[in-house]
Amino acid sequence: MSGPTWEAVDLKKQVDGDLAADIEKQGAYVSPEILRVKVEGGQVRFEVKAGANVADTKAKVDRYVDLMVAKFRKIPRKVLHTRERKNKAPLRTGVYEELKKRGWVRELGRGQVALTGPALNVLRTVDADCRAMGMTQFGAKEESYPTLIPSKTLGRCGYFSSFPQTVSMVTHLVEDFDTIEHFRQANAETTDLIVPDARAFATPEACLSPAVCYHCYRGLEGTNLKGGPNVVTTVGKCFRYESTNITGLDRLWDFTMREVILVGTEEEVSTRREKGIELVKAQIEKFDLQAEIESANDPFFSAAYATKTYAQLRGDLKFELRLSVEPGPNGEARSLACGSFNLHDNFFGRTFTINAQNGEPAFTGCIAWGLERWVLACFTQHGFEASGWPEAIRASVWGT
Amino acid sequence: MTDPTIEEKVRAIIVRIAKIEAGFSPDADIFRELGVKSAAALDLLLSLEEEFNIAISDDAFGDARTVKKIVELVASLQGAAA
Repeated sequence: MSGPTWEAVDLKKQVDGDLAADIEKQGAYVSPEILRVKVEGGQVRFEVKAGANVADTKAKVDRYVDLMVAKFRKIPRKVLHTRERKNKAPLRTGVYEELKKRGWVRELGRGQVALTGPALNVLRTVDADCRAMGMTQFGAKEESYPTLIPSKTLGRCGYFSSFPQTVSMVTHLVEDFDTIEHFRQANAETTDLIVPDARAFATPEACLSPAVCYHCYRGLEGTNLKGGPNVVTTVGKCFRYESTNITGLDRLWDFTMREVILVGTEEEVSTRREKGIELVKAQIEKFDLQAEIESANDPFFSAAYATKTYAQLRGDLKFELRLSVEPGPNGEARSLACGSFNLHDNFFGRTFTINAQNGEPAFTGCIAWGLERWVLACFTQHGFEASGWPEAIRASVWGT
Repeated sequence: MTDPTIEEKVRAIIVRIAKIEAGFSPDADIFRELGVKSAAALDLLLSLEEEFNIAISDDAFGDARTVKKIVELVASLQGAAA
């Protein structure tokens, strides 16, 4: 019996490293028959499972690549800030395995982890710092939000047209005795979920929140911010289905996000985002982290990729804080987006009829931190001995 | 003085891409005032390049946010190519 095979489609135009990386990453969603996607030598190569219909899979890859590449127009990345560590010890390797070995991270499911001990302390230390930044530097008020978000809200936010591949939908069995009983019996003798009939599931009324700020905009629907900008800080669980890209603490399905959310006039929002960038520069000094802040784009899917990436990069709408993590298998430098500084123009103001104090549709923005990634980056850069950690955070992480 | 047919063609492209009513002011910011989504910018840029057979830099396109300025930009690029 033959094993997986490598197939290829030709690229119709040259692609740069950023686009190639996005093609590889989003290739996870093209077909369940595909194991890996690589952009090499003017081709998109993909590994297909044994027994798959190669012609169908190839046609699907061809359509996918065409939609990603055809209209793509490169906007050069802007690097706003680069920082080297004072700690000159080499970056640790095998960090995730070491965290698991010590019991500080436990895998409970695909992309689902429990944290404890110093790993949890890091997460809490980072979060406390971000929360304090929001409240003292921005005068933010705290809010808490549900983990669920109505599908209707996500739809109005344009999420299904931009990021359908990552949505985690919440369904339940339809209210029907026979259907529920059929399901119960099918699952009575098994520990794996058996779905005897997919029609037993209701259309998902809710999803798991992919970001915490959408709740804020929905909550402000129909309001006029006569008293000035509305600034909120919140932390919550977020969910993005990452398919075969799920990796350690790098890319979880279920992760924790702290945000400072900005709603107001264009000037109120953009000046606060700039302030956020400056404050995060100081934050990475305090945490002594090797980092870059650079322009970035979200993982828009398919036809939305070229148009929305162009708009985002052209308008300087998104910058990411990238923290260095352990090198790749060939020794290549790697970093992870551990924070972002986002502007959304007045899209949410228009969508939810929120007016700023000037009477115009409000502009929005947010500053966000992905906390589990900070845990990975901090252990990678500072190691597993308290003495290697910067004094400003040592006690709160190690208790010494 | 720019060719009036440039303006007609630019307006037709904006109406087609943004699905808005014709007859808007040539001085209106097409993204802020006419409500054209920023995601339509790339389609607008590519359509302008194809229609007028010109190459437009991203910086120049970024500064041309009204019909009037787009018409001036197209005319200047056509003049430069002539």
